[in-house]
Amino acid sequence: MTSIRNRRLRVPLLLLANGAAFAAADAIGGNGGAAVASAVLAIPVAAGWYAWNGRDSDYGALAGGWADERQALIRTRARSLSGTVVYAVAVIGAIVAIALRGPGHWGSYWPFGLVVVAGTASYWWAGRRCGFGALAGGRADERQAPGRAWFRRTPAR
Amino acid sequence: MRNRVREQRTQRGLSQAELGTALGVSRQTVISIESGRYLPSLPLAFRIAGFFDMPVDKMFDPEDEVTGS
Repeated sequence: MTSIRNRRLRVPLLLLANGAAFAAADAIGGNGGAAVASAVLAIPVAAGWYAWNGRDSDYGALAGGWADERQALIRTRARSLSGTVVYAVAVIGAIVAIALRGPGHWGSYWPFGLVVVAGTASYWWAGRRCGFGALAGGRADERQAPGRAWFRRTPAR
Repeated sequence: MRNRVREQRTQRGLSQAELGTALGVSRQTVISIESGRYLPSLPLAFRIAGFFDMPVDKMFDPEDEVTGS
């Protein structure tokens, strides 16, 4: 796969590809008008994103993929918070759908369930990928999260 | 945690943008560090101290945080 050297172009090109994918899905589904709308709408969105991510601001840096360590930390925290919100909304949505439609109507709440299951599974996968349990086999004083006994015998705390 | 980034930067007549460019961070991050809203990572703290030719413990003073003052 060819790498995109200009970082500012990465997300706009992804947005264009996204629009093309939606247009193709619409065309396959037999909705020609929606296909044209998806393709045409993607162009100003991508252009707007390109213009936005060149600005001298935290948002511009995040959008442009040239964030420094503080901005990357903000991005990580923002993603975490937005993920938590999406997860909570999915749980609430599932509960509301069950209350409104009653049990057995999978067609009403499976999208919420999918988000909850995907959120839970990806959380554990991401935690492991990002370091949870990586030092489980190490000595106690090398662990990231030592047990209470470690804290009790550590005078510095 | 108090730091002497602003003091050292102004002594050298540098703008926040110029310091950011020299350190490889954004102007916004320099502003955040100077105002104490963001604690830099250890590598960045060493880069800052090295840039101003000062020891890290002189550039960043944890004293006020320890005493709570």
